[in-house]
Amino acid sequence: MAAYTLIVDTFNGTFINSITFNAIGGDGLSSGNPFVMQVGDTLAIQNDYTQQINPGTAFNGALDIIGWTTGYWNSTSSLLSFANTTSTARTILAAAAGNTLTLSASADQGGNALAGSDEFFIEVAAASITAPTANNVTVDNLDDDQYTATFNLSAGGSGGLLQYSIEKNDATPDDWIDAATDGTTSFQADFTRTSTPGTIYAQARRSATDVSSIVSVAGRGFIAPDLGITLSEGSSLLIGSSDTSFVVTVADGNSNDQYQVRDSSGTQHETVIGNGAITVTDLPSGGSEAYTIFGRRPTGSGGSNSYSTTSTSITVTQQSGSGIVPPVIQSITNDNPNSSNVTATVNLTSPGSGGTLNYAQTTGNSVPSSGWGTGNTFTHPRNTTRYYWASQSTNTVGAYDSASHFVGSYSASVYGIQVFNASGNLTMDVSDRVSGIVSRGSLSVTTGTTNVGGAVPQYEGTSSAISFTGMTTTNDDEFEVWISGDIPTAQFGLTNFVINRGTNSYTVTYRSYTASETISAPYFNVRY
Amino acid sequence: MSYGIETFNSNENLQFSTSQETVSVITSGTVANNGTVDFDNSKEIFMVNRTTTGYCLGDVTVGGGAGGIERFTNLTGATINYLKATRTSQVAENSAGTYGIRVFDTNGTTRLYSSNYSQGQSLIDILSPNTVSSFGDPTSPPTNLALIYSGTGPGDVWVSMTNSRYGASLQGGYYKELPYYDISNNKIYMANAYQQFTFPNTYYWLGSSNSSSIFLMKRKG
Repeated sequence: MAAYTLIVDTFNGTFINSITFNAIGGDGLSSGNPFVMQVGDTLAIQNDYTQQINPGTAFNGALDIIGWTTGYWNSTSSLLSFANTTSTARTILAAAAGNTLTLSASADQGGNALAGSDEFFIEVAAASITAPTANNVTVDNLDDDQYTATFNLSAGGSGGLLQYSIEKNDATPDDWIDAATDGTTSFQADFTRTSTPGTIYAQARRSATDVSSIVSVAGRGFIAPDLGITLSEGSSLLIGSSDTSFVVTVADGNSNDQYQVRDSSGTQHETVIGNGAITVTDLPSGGSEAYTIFGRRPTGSGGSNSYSTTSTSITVTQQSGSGIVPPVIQSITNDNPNSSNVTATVNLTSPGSGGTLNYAQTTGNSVPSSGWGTGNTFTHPRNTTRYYWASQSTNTVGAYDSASHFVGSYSASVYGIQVFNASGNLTMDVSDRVSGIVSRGSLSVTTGTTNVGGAVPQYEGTSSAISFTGMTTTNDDEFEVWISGDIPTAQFGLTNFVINRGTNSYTVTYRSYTASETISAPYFNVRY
Repeated sequence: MSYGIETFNSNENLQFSTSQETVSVITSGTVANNGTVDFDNSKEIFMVNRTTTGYCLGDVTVGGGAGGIERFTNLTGATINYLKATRTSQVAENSAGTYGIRVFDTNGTTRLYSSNYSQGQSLIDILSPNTVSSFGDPTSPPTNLALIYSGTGPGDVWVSMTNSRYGASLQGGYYKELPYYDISNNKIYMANAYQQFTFPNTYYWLGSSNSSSIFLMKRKG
């Protein structure tokens, strides 16, 4: 779209003076020579005082331009052009090819009065419109009750006014919305999830007859809850006779979903969002009852807010009688395998219920009547067996569990020796390895006279066999050769020494740029 | 062995054997930039160490030291640590020791091991000649360098530099058996590369490898 500025001389009485830019038609100063514009073009007014086209007579006054023909312009009120400024632009909205519009100008008061009025003639040319081309419409699927449809154009077209329509379940979308800019090629509209997804249709146009094809996509229904949960307690739970509630813990759930406990009669109990513990203030009917977990996706997270069964159940049984459920010891573990100080820890599979959880350690396999405490860690002397106890009611029969544990001098996987210096610092630890020099000497190699290097001559020689008892072709992590070659700087790039491993012996190959060169080097045969 | 004692560590590696002597440190200290240390390549292992990230750069001149032994010149631009190690039988004990153990060879005089040294050595690895190769420009370490150690406390690890060469020239430079300590990432690398001239005025880096064995060890005590 073109933008034009009309220059007005407010001094000479001929208001219309000049048009900037390249006019399609005439200069608009006479009815037979109209200035030609197209729909979408804009026109602004500027005092010649700014441009100084007629210097010396350019009067710095303000004026009103009137006569904006109804039905063609985006506004028909008078357009005020202030002194030494440019007015806002006015846009032609409707096309009426061949119509000639006549604009009038009148002077504002103040300053030098204008000698008269003048007219400016505009003709609206036939609009040239290319319809937009639809590409596709897509929908997102966030954890939300709303989803967004995005309508994409592969080409925006030109001319006219770009509009689009995105509607649900209307195969001929016609709720037209003006595009934010003429160059926009992607449009969005939000929809609310429903139980039936429906279909989203989209279309764009630049005039009533210049329209794109209609594209469509399936809408979004509700997101189903994640029902593949587990319960940390497994499929059964034993609670004490005096308990008034129990806890089940949801695992493998979805953080968006809500999980609810229901008893066998369908009564709904407590819930949790995502994974976590649910304290159920209900007791099993008749001493034992199956509880089932239901799940739902709340509306705000894109769901229907309706519960479905996860098919995960747990049978809760309440003890009768003493009301004590004993703890179950899973294991006894200890730390510091390489230290003289060892701490043993009692680990439980379940803590039991109905009393107070306490622990004890004994030297013999008899439940103690005293020495109980709430701490589950104990000092355990090396090379001894200790017995560990966990109970809901100290030494009451049926209230406790026990396990024995032995701690040796060191873990069976640790051996070797330690050597300390006179300051008590370790000079050799059980994890250290030390190089043992099996044999040593000096080797001598003389390079041959045959060029093995090609364009850059290189010569090599190999030593006689050097004995190394214990060496094999592969055990370089235990038997290795320490060799130090005195290679001149000029021989960078050569492979220098190569150890040719054998069984109980090896040879050394030396490569040089020089033929018949003899070099000697010390070696240590190291076992480590 | 038909008699005596061998002990192995928790990884089943040799700790010591009554039929073999080990390696002990003769002397250790620091060497300033451009400072020198002489060592005898025929019987001594020269090793370096630093506790901050960077190269240990140096040049070993064969026969350039006093009496015709080797001379190491520190070109790191900073002071680094060094030590010289040799066979245990050649190293005096640090204390007379009224307790502990000594292990002697069958001749009764060659000392193979002693607990009277104030420090011990824990061997990490021995890398055979022609097994540590690097390729490309070594001047932006550790890019293009060969990894020779990855584990805790690289600042406690000593690396041998018995045949190292360093030439800093941008045209015709060379890096040979030069360790690079990457302290923060618990790694030690080694550079082995040199620049090759191509007519008329182009230099490019060629890969090379170690010509001598590379020792890596920690000191204990």
